[in-house]
Amino acid sequence: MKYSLILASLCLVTAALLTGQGGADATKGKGAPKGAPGGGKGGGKGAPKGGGYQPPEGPAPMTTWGKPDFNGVWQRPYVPNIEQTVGGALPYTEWGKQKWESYNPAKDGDYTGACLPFGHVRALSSPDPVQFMQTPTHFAFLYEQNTWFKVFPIDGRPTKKKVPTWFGDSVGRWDGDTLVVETTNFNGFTRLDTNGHPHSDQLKLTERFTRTDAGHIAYQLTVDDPKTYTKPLVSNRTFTLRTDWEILEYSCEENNKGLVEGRIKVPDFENQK
Amino acid sequence: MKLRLIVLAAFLAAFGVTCLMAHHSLAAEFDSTKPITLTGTLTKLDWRNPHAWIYLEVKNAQGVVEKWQCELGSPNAMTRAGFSQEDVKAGDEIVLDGILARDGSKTVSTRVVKAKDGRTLLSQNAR
Repeated sequence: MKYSLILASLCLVTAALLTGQGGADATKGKGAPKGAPGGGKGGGKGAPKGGGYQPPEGPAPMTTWGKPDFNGVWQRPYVPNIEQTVGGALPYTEWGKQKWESYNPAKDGDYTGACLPFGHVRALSSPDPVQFMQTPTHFAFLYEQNTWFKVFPIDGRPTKKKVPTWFGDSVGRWDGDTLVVETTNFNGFTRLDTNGHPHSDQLKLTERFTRTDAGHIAYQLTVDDPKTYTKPLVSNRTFTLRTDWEILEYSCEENNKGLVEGRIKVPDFENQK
Repeated sequence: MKLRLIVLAAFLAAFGVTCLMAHHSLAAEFDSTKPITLTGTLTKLDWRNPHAWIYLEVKNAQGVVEKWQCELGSPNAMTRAGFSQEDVKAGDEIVLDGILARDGSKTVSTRVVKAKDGRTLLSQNAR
C-alpha cells in the first residue's frame, strides 16, 4: 500500500511535469501562470511539433448572451491520484477503507482497461483533453477519453433522468460568473482516479468553473460521499485553453489487445459495488 | 541482435515504467518488477487507439528469432508529445525499454523506443 502511494505521488509529479501543470499549481486552482504551462509539446492534429505554445491572454471572454464563454479545447492536469490535489490521505469511513484496501485490479480486473465507462471524475482527470460546448440552455463535456460525452441543462430545469449511470446526472446553474455543476445518481461502479480510489452510489459532485482569464479556468471539484469519506474532498485545478489542439477520435475497443488476448480481466463490478 | 534481460536502475524499475500516461491501471496487465530491454528489428507499427503496438523480432541467446509485441501509449498522446507513426518503419533496428506482462507471454509495456545510436524514436514523454 505504501509503495502504491509513493508510486502514485511520483507518477503525479511526472504527469504534472509532462502536462505542464506543476504539481503545486495543480492544487491551487487560481493563479495559473500566464505562460503556457506545458507549452513546448505542441501536439494535436495538425499542430506543430516543438515548443512555444502560449494560451491567449486578456480578460475572460463572454458569450453574446452575457455569460462567461467556456467553449474550447482544454488541457487539464492528469490526476492519477486524487490524494495529491486534496491535501493528502483520504478520510475513509470503515466502508471506504475496506473498498480501498481490497482493490486489486491485477487480480479482480480493471473496468477502465476493459473500456467500460470511466465515470466523470476519472474521465476529467485523464491525460486526454476535453472540449466544452455551451449554449444558453445546455453545456456539453466532449471527453477525448474514449470519445465519450455528457450533456446537461444549465438554465434551471431539473434533470428528468432517474436510472443510475456511470457518469451520473448533472444540472448546472450560475453563481455570478461561475458555472456550478451538481451531479448525482451514480451507479457506483466507477473509481475516482487511475489509482482506484473508491466512491459509492451516494456520491455527489459539485464542480465550479470560473473563467479567470482568456487562457484559463479555475476548476474546483468537491467530492461528497458520506458512505466512503467522513468529510468532503475538495480538489482545485487549473485548466488551460489549447487553441492549437483539436479533439481526436479515441476508440478504446479498436486495438485493446490486452483485453482481447485476456491479460486484462473484466471485473465483476456489480458485485464489487 | 540478442535478447538482453537487464536489471535497470532502481528508480526506473520501480517508477519510471509505471509512470506512463496510462489511462488505466498498468498493474492489471504488467509487472513493474520485471523490466526488460529488447534489441531487435521492428516488423510492424500498429498506430491505433487505445494503444499503439510495436511488433519486434529479437534473436535470443541461442540464436533463435523470437517475436515480441510491445504496447505503447495512445497515438493521441504520442502525437501531442511530438511523435508520429512516420518516426519508425519496418526494418528499423531499435532498442526498446519496458516491463513484462504478467501472463508470461512475449508482451511488453513500452517506456521508450530508441535507435541504436541513442536517438529517441517513440515515447509518451515530450520529444
